[in-house]
Amino acid sequence: MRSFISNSRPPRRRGYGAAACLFAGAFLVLAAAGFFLSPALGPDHAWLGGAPEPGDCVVDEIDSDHFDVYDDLYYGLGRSMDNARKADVLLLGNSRTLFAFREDSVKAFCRQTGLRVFNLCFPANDGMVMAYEAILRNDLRPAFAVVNENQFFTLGRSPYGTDTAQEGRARARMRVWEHRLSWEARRRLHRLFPRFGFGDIYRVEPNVTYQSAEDGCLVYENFSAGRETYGIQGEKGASDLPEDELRLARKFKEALEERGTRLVLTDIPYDMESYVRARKLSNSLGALFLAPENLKPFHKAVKLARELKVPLVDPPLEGLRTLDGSHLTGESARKFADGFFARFKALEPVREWILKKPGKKPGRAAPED
Amino acid sequence: MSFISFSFLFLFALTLAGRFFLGPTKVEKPYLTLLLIASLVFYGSFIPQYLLLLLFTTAVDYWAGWRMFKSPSLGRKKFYLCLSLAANLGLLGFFKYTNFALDTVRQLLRALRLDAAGIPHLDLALPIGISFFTFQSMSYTIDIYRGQLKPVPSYPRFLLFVSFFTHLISGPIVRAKELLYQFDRKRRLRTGVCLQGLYLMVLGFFLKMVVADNLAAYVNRYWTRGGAAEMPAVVPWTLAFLFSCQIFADFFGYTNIALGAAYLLGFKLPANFQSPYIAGSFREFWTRWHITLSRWIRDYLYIPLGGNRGRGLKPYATLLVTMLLAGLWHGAAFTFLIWGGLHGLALAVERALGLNRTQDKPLAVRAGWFVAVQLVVLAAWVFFRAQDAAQGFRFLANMAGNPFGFRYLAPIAPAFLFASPVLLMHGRAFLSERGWLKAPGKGEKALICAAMLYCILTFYGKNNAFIYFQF
Repeated sequence: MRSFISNSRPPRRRGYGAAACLFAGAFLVLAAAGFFLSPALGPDHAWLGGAPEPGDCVVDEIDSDHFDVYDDLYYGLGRSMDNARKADVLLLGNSRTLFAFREDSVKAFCRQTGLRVFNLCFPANDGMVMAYEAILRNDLRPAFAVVNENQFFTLGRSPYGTDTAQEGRARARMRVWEHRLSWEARRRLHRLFPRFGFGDIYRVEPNVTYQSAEDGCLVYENFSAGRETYGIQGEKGASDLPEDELRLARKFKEALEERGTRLVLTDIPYDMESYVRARKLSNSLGALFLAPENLKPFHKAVKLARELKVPLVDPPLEGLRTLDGSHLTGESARKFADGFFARFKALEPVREWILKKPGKKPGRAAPED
Repeated sequence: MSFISFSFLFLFALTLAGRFFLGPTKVEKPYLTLLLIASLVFYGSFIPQYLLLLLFTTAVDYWAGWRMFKSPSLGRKKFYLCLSLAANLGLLGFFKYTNFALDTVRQLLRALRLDAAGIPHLDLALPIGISFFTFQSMSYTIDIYRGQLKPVPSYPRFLLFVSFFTHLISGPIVRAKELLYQFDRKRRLRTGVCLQGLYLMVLGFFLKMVVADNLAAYVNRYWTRGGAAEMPAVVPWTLAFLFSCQIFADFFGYTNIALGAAYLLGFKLPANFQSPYIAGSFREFWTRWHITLSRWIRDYLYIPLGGNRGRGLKPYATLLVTMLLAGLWHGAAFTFLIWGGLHGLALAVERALGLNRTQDKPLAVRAGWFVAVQLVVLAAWVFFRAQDAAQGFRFLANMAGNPFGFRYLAPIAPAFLFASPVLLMHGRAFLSERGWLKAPGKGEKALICAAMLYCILTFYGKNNAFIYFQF
C-alpha cells in the first residue's frame, strides 16, 4: 500500500488507449496475414469463389439443415410460392428430383412449350405428406404433378419435415431471416477474412445448393466438384409394390384430381450397388451423405403407374452417372431431363394443355417407350 | 433465439441502446420496462405458448412470497411454501419427467411380459430453461420462508428477476438476494466495466463458436466408435477428453456471454466456472463446475436432507441421493442418473478416505488423487454424452481394455487443436492460483481479445444449440 507521506507522485491513472491500439494492431496484423497467406494455401481460399450471386435463390446449406428451403416452400415465405402458383407442372419428390431437373433443361422446356414448371421437391427425402401439405397450404393448382415415385408414397416425414410442420409460420419466418442474414454476412465476411480448412470435418466452405425462386430448380451446387462419379446400372432389383404404398398412391392421385391436377409418374435412376459403395466411401472420407440407409432399389414404377392408370415417363438410363450413387451429375441430369421432357410433352393430355396456351406448339412427339 | 444468432444480437443491441439512452444509471423505470419486454420477447421466441408457463410460475411464487411474509404462523408459511414448491416441481416434473416415468414403466412391464400397450408417450415439448427458472424462482420463496429475504414490492420486478434474458435459459442460477438489490442500485456507465463486458462476450463467443462447435463436429462424427467392439482404449478416452472440453467450452462460453451481456446492461451475475479440470478432489470439482447449481443443491437440498450430519452411512447416503437428484435435474434419462450416481459415489468414497481436503496431504498423494479425480470425471462424462446406458457401459468396457491402437486416432487428431484453448486456460489458471503467473493485464487482454475475435470470424464451426439448453 502506498504511504500517504511518500514524496513520490501518485501513479497516473492509465486509460485504455494503449490497450485499444494494441487490440486494433493485433487484429489488423492477423487479418492481413490471413488475407495475404490464404492464396498460397490453395485455390479453396476464396470462400465459394465460383458461386454466383444468390440473387433470387434460396440457399440451402445441406451440412447444417434444410430449413431455409423447407420453410420457404412449406410456408410460402419468399417469391417461390408465387411462382409455384402460376406453374402448369409441379415436379415432386426428394433430392433426386432436385438434381435431375436442373434449370437449363426446365427453362428450355418452358421456352418450347409455354408451360411453367416449378420444382417443388423437399430434398431431405420427404414424400407425399410434405408435398401435399405444401400444395394445400399454398393453394397450388397445377395441371400436372410429376412425381418421382422413389420413397414418395409414404406417410413418413424427415426430421426437417417434422420440425418445419411443427414450428409455425412466425418461427419459420424468423429462421429464414436468420439463415439469409447469416449467409449474406458470411459471403461478405470471407472476402476480407478468408477461412482456412484442414481435415475432412473442418472445411473451408459449406456444401450448398442454390434453388431458383423462379422455378425451384437447382442453379448451383458445390459438392460435386472433384468427386468420383458412378455409372448407373440398368438392371435393377425385382419389382415389389406393397399394398400400403399403392393405397397411399391412389389417395394422393385422387386428392390431386380433386384439385384439377393430373398425376404423372417418373423414376429418376440411381443404383443401389454404387449407392452402397458411395456411402462407404463417404463414411471413410467423412463426407456428407444425404440419403437414408433404408432406400430400396426396387424398380416398381411401372407396376405403380399401371395400377394407378397414370402415365409413366421413364427415359432410358444408358450412359447416366451419379455423383454419389444417388444424385445425377449435371450432364446426366441434362440427358435425363431432356429425355423426360421430350416424352412428357408427347403425352396426350400435355399436348392438349400446351395447345391451350396461346402461341405455342407442342412440337414433334417423341417415340413411345 | 440462441445467443449465437442475429436475432439475439439485434435484441441485445436494442437493449444496450436503451441502457445508453433510457437508463444511464440503469434504475430508470423505462429502462427496466425495456429489459422486461426484451426478456419476454427472448423467451417467447422459442415457443410463445410457454410464456404463459413462465408467467404462471412467477405469479404463484410472487403471491406465495407475500403470503408467507405476511403470515404470522409457521404452519401457514409452510402451507404457502408447499404450494409454491408444488407449482414449480409439478410443472418441472410434468414436462420433464412424465415421459421418462411412462417409458420406464412400459419397459418394466415388457420385461415382466405384461401388456404395456395402454401406456402412452406424451407429445410434450420441454419448455426451454424450465430447470433453471424454476430453481431460481424456488430459491426466492424458500429464502422468504427462511426469513432471509423480503418479498419484492412489485410483480414486474419479480418477473424481471426470473426472466432476465441473460441468465434465463441456462443460468447462472441467480439468487434473489444477488440480483434484486441491483435493480435499485444506481450504476453509471464506466469504460472499464463495458470493456470487461465486451471481453467476456468475445471470450464466450470464441469458446462456443470456435472451440465447442468445432469439437462437437468431431465428437458427433466419431462418438459411436468409442463404444464399438474391440476398439482400443485410447479411442474412448480421447473422445471422452474431447467431449469434456466441448461441454466445458459450450457451457462456460454461454456463461461468459451471459455475464458479459449483463455487465454491459449494468448487472453483475455470479461466476459459474473456475477451471474445473484442475480440481484436486471431487469436492473441489463441484466448487468449480457449474458453481451456482452446486450452491443451490447444497443450500436447498443437501443441507436440508441432513448434509454431513448424522452417524454411520447417513452422510454418505445423503451425498449419493443429492447427486442422483442432481443428475436427474440435468435430464430425464438413466444416463444422467448414472452420471450423478458416479459423482455421488466418488464424493462418498473421497470423504470416507479423507481425501476431500487434500491441502495437508503429501504431494504424491495430492498428485495421485488429482489424476484419479480427473479420470473419473472423464469417465463419468461418457454417460452424459451417451445415447443410452448400454452405449455408456460399452465405452467404459473399451476404456478398460487394450490401450494401443493409435492409428484410429488419425482422423480425430485435428480436434486437439480446438481443445487446446481449454487446456491453455486451465494451465494458466493453475499457475495463477499458485501465484506463479500474474492475472492478464490490459495489454495482454487486448491481444487475446484480438486473436479470439479473428478466430471467431474465420474458425467458427457449424452452429449447434447450447448443450445446456435442453435442460
